[in-house]
Amino acid sequence: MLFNSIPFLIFFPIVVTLYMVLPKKVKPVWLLISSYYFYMSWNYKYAGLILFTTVVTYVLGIVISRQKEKSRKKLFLILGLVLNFAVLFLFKYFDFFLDNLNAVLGTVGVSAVSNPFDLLLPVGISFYTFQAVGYCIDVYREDVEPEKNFIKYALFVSFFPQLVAGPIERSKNLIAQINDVTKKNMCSYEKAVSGFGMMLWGLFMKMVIADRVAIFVDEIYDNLYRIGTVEGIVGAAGFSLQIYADFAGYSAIAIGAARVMGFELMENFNTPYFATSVSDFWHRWHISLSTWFRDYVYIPLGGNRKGKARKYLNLIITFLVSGLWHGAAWGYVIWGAIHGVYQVLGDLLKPVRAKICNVLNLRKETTGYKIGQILITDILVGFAWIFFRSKTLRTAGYYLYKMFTNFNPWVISDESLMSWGLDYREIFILLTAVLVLLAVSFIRYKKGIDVGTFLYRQDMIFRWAVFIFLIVSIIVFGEYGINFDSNKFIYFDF
Amino acid sequence: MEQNVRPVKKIVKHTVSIVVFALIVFFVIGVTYNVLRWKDTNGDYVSSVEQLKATDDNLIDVVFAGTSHVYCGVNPAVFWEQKGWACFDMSTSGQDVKSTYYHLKNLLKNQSPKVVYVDLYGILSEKHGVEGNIYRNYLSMPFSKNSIEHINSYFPKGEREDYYFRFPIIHTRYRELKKYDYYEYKPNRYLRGEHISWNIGESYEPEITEGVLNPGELEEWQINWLNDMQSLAREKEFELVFIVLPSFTTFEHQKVYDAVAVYCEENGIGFMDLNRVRTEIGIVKSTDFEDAGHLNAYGAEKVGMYMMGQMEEYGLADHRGDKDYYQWDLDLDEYNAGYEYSFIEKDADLSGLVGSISRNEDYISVVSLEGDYVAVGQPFYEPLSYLNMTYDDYEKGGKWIYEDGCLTKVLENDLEAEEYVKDLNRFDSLRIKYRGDYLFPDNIMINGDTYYNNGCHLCILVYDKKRGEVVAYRRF
Repeated sequence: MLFNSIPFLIFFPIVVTLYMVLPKKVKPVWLLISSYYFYMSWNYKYAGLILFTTVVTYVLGIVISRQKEKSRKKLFLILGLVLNFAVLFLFKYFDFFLDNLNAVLGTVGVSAVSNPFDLLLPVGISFYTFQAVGYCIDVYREDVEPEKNFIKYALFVSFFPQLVAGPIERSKNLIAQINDVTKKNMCSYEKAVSGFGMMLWGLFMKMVIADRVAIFVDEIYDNLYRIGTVEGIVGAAGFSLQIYADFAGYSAIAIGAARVMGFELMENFNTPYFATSVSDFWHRWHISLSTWFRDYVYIPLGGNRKGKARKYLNLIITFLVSGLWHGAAWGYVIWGAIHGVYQVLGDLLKPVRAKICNVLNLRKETTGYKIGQILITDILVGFAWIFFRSKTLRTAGYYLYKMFTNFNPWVISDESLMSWGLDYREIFILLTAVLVLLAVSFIRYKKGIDVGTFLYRQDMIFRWAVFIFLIVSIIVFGEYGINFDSNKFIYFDF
Repeated sequence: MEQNVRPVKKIVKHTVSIVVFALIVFFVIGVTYNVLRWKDTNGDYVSSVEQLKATDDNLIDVVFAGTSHVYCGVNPAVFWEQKGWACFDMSTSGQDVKSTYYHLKNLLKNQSPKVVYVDLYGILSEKHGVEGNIYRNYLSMPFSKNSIEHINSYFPKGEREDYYFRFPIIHTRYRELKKYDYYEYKPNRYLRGEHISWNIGESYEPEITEGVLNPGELEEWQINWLNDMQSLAREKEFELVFIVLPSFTTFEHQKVYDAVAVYCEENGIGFMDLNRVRTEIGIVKSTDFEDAGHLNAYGAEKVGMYMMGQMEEYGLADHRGDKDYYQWDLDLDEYNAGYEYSFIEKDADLSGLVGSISRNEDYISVVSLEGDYVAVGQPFYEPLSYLNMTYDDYEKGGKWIYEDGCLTKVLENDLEAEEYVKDLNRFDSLRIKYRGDYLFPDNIMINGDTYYNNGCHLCILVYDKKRGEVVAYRRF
């Protein structure tokens, strides 16, 4: 059940209405039933997997907390990690592992190993696995008490707004709120209005921007043989926009849907393309995942506490794992590696950059300098997205080859750019929507509040006008319905 | 006590604001839907469903239901003019049999026809071959239990939601919106479902063995539909007649029609195959068809005259003069106007054209004379003098407007002359200027469209104020 689908349009109001009227004690049960129904609407068989993860981490959480000796705690934690990651490996990475193993075996003349399983990737498996594993680690570190109530814990793992594509919630934040459900009234007019605004904004980003620019980007990637420099650049910029509008759109809907029911999920995006460095970008992009890796991978590896060389190694490892988390393909791994290298080089070249600034008399406090930093960061990030979107190294290599060897500036003026799936009308709609996105991003950047909160604080007339603008834009200009092949949400596959 | 009042006040305030907001949203969505909703953009926005909606209850006596063969081949205006019978074409392009059944059911909610003629062309194929026809048939009916059953009857589960909610299909119409998506197309109020075409195309003789029925085997879905139609006729108490309208028919098609003829015989249902009585009707394949499969206005008139004879037995009332039936009067006016448009656009010589524009008060005409037509002896003056043009003016040339019996010169053929502009109605504006003889497309323009002399000495443009469109553009 996609957020931008008719079934969700029916499902969500029913869930919310009943959630609001049911007695407090029953609310978590209702949300759990709704969440499982939501998940099973994709494939009912995979409900068993999420139940397995839930039971394993629930039991281990209690067991870990009861151990007195650190070593035994660790033993059970490792057991939990192995069990959870084994499931993840089996469903997500086993094919990839076999492909690479067979490639190696092929070079030494050994016949290929066939895959005994024929498994589909369960939607959202990386998200809920990481959330559940994070819980075990938190219990092990004694950051949280283990949750004794199985219903509440199961709801923590499967809470439907963030189940399939995050934000990857921390146990400290979400379990506490789930506990509050049975104690007080979480819902309020303010939260409902603000959450509704977030949901509309997320749908606008997904359906009007992401799915529209996706038509252009898909056309580029389906016809790499005829691209040149301009299409290569516009295609990379287009995918940067698409993946942001898609994933930030999803996150906004998830946060908004949770907020309507009184839950506050963690922020997942904070104007990432306004970042002034790659390091800054990772403080703003997919925050719930990047902080997960920071807390559960980078810092345990030693972080920056063991010298520069180790810090760089830790960064590279963390980003390689992050790349692999996104998908079982070398394109993702290279994408992660590029971001790791960016960070290492960024740190290594700090003195050089300072020297250049000095020589050219560049003042860091000026707006121009900041805009320059933002542009350079976006170019670096956009370049890395090429590997992410290409998935295979061969495709990415061909893309770059065409981009750097086929210089064709005339396509800007001879209307060739209109032959990539979007005509003038569609481009006009897209650019107008991007202007709206820029305005909203600017508000977020300057005021430090999300669009839902911002709208709630405005006068009612303004708020209603914006809501109606978003509703009509989504209904009329959204990409959906017959003849539209939805891209789903890109991050559902991770 | 006061502490309790405040939260209650707040709750009431919030509830009211949510309700008001929801109402505004529903209103805006409704307005948006009305603009985007399916309209027959391929048929000048003319739609039987719209016209039925605009018809008061219990006026229709005879319904002709079915595919484009009906709206082309049966013209209610002919029946009205001759007999005063209130006929209506409940007809859509490619109307499949399910759609015929449910559109008829929709009509029967508010109308009680005595006779229903059901075209059999739709029985030749169960599923649509043209996507646009699916939309025409399944998105045009007002939302109701009947429209849901209609959708369920055709689409398997999983494909129905888009048709229930409609927006998933119609929202992409933002790419093709035109004037009549925002403003009502007036003839939809009074036309009676027909499509009047004055074009003449070539058709073929049907593959029929004269005087002999050669029935094939009907499929289950075809028999089910025939049974359903029969039940509906019994339930709603109307006379049911299955009909094949004159059109090109293959041997295989004819086997199906003949099988239905046998079915009708066995079940005591009326049946007419007009392909078998073409000679009696007087249908000529070279003049009475718009294309191979569809009759034109001339053919429809002949069919109408023939059918009137067959329909006498139903004892239908003559409603001419009854104010409730004003839409049939307007429909007939439209038919007659269409005949005149066809005449002045294609057939009339200059005298005939001048005669027509001098008689019709709904016309505004632009007359443009350019070049050396006097020197070369063009015979324009005499016909134009009927519009009260003086010979002096004629010799000088220029541009005139003829409206309400008055000819007014609005521009000399002078490069220095200031352009003439006139708003013909709220949508259409005329601009006349002179940039030289013959070959300047912007000499006469309505909105962005050009109507200039294009190499000729005389150009006459006729605009119908009532219809709001150019009905003739002739050069001599």
